Amino acid sequence: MTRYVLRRLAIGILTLVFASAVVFFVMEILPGDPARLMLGLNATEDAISALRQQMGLDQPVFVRYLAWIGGLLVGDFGRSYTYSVPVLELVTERAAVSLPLAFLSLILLTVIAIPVGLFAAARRGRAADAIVMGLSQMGVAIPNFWFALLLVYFFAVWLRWVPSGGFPGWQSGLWPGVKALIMPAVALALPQAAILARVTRGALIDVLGEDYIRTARAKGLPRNQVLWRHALRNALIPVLTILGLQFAFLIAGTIIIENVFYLPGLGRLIFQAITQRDLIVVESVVMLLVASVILVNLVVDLSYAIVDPRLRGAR
Amino acid sequence: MALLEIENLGLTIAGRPILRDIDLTVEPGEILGVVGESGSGKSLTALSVMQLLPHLSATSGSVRFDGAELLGASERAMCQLRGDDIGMVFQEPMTALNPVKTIGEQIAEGIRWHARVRAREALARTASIMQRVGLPPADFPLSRFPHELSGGQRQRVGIAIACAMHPRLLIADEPTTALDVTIQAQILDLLRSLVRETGMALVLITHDLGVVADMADRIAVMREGIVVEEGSTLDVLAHSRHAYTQQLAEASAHVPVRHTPPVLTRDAQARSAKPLLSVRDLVCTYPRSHRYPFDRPEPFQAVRGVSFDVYSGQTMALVGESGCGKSTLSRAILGLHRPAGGTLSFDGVDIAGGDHEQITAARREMQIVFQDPYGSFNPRHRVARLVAEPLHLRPELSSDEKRRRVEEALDAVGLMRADMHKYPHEFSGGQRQRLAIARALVIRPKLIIADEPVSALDVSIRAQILDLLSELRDRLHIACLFVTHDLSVVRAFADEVLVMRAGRFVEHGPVEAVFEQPENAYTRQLLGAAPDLHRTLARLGEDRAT
Repeated sequence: MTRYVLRRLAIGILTLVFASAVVFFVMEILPGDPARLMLGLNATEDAISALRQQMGLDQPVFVRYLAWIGGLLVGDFGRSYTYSVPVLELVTERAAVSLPLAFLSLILLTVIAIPVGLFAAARRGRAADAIVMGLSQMGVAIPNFWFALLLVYFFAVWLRWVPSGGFPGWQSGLWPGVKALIMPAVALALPQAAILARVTRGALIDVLGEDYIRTARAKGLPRNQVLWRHALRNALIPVLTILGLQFAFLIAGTIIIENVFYLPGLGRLIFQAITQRDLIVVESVVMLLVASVILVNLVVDLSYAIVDPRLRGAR
Repeated sequence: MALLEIENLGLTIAGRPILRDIDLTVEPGEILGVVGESGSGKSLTALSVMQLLPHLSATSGSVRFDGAELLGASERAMCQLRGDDIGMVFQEPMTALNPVKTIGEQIAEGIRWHARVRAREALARTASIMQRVGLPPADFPLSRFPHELSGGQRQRVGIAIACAMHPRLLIADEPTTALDVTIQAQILDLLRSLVRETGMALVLITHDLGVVADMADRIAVMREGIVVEEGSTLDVLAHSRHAYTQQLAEASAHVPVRHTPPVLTRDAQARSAKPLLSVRDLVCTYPRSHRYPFDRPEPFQAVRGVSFDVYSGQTMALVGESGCGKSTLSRAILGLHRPAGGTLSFDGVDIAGGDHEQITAARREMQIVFQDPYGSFNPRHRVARLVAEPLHLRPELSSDEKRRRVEEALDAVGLMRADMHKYPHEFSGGQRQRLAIARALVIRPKLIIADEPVSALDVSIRAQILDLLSELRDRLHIACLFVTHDLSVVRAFADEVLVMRAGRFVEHGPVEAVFEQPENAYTRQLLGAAPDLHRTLARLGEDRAT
């Protein structure tokens, strides 16, 4: 077990290092010089080269990569080219919106999808199953930004239960903050939940055909008990795999959803930073997103071993 | 009143009739053997009693347990009976246990459900039933998971689950089919002693007449959804009046006629004939998983220095229990596993490490027939393509010639030439095994390696396939390395036998000699554990006479 955990951890760290190199060097080969961009069209060559020197852009690329990594390790993310504030400050402020949004939708996704999958699998082949699966088919097909607009129209414009967009900031209290995030989270989670519900149902139905399900029934357990006690845990492996992959989708989805709901999150920050060639911000935000995806996948890998004892001895 | 009375039971699944007019009774303390080939409806009869039938099943007639009608009983009532008064043990110990739950949880679950006792009490009862089935909790803690146990141990857990509440009726559906003979003998002993101790009734479902003769008080023979004959074990098996039962008994002891004399190693050596396949000091290893980085553990030795020869036209049986290394050895001969040491030569060519082109040419003369006639064909290809597969080794042949070869091969195994355009699913199990043999023959090999080729087949089909292999051996003079765990097949079919245990040969000799006077203790143990229909019937006959 410890070996399995250590190995997963090592793989996670290696992935992070590799990803950092990819992120940095891809940014390097993109056209556009930040110093030139900052000084505008009328800048003199002397002024540009002075600024480049000041920003360290004249250093060789490997030196800059190592300096960047070293900075990241001690929490120095550099200064934004356009906002001239420390990137860390910028990112933490925005992450306080985006990460809660992503995790809220992850939770919503799970609590919607797994019960729906269980419900459909327990009634497979019957009308209730057909209806639920038909709805989930629609859920898979609907793009989340369009669904977001429907939600805004219905809950914000018509019922006036929640604000249509914007974020009051956590300083105004937990509930106003959560309230502003609920609709975006639902818009993000539902289409993914539709996919996961189908995966859950399929995995459960596969498991229900296994011999040990028959053994459990022959013990005298009623169908529902067998579904909960024996089928669900065995079906969790494919469900967890998809859930891990979906988290990356949720993170990417925040970029669109934050624009729809006008949320000051990482998605909008990265969008602006790209258009303004604020490379150092782009790099930091991408690294943060990569790290959170790797972290979630590490958690998924570790939960495999909790779910399936056969993996505990595995490498 | 009998404990279980099945009267006029009928079953249809999705409108298709499966069972008709089944009449069976079981008394307390009695062992009823239900025998039949696949598709005879013996398992579905059992599942009708348990009311665990597949979707769209409809039953008619009557199944009474202790006087209470089970057909149409509420699900609630059935849940109370199942696992409490009626227990069931299934065939596949590898898949019948939930892989993510400990064996203790799985046994205790039924106890807690039925007896409504506290966890501590349930655990105590779990420990005592485990002790009873031969898994003392001191050696097999309740916290073990199924994957940490062997097949036989898992089947003991299955029996513990079924017997945890001391049922009055136990239904065992092919409980030992997936197990080695020595383990099978232990499990059958356990079942027999449980019946004797507790007076529970046992319905033993099996395809193996040897097992049922040894175990059952009475036997019911099923075929195509009806009971064709029923009576005391001796009457049914020894003095059967029913043609089908006679046919089954004959098929299970079938010995194919051999028209050419057996090829024995000592005769061949006397003639100083050259062996076709020669294996010397062969060692095969598998790497063990390393415990920490840069750890280099000793590799696991699956085959530990074995030597033998196979001569042209000779049928050599390789016998051993699971894990003894027989599959690794045959894979090494086929070139699917690189040996760690020793030499392998085929037709004078060093096939373990010689010239690549020579090896490829030599390998053409060697073909394999696998155990599973279902899994070894691509379901999307037609027969013509499947059988012609090995001919890619002979690119110089024209497509007309290839077609002619396929036709010949189909003729040789008794299939129609028109079958060329069919897909594998259109054939029965026995026909598919014929296809597999045709695929091996198409290249006109000198050696066929047959890996359990009849283990998955019913006895009557098995007899036909053995006849076919025997006929091919006589006519084409093909040598055969016959890998199997089934001693009755070896006796019927092979010239010589190699008995393998833990990677080594413990005995090698002509079949007659090894079976009549085994020298090695392990061989004697294997032979003693193997159910033998005729030996058992002779014993039963004597018992009755006295």
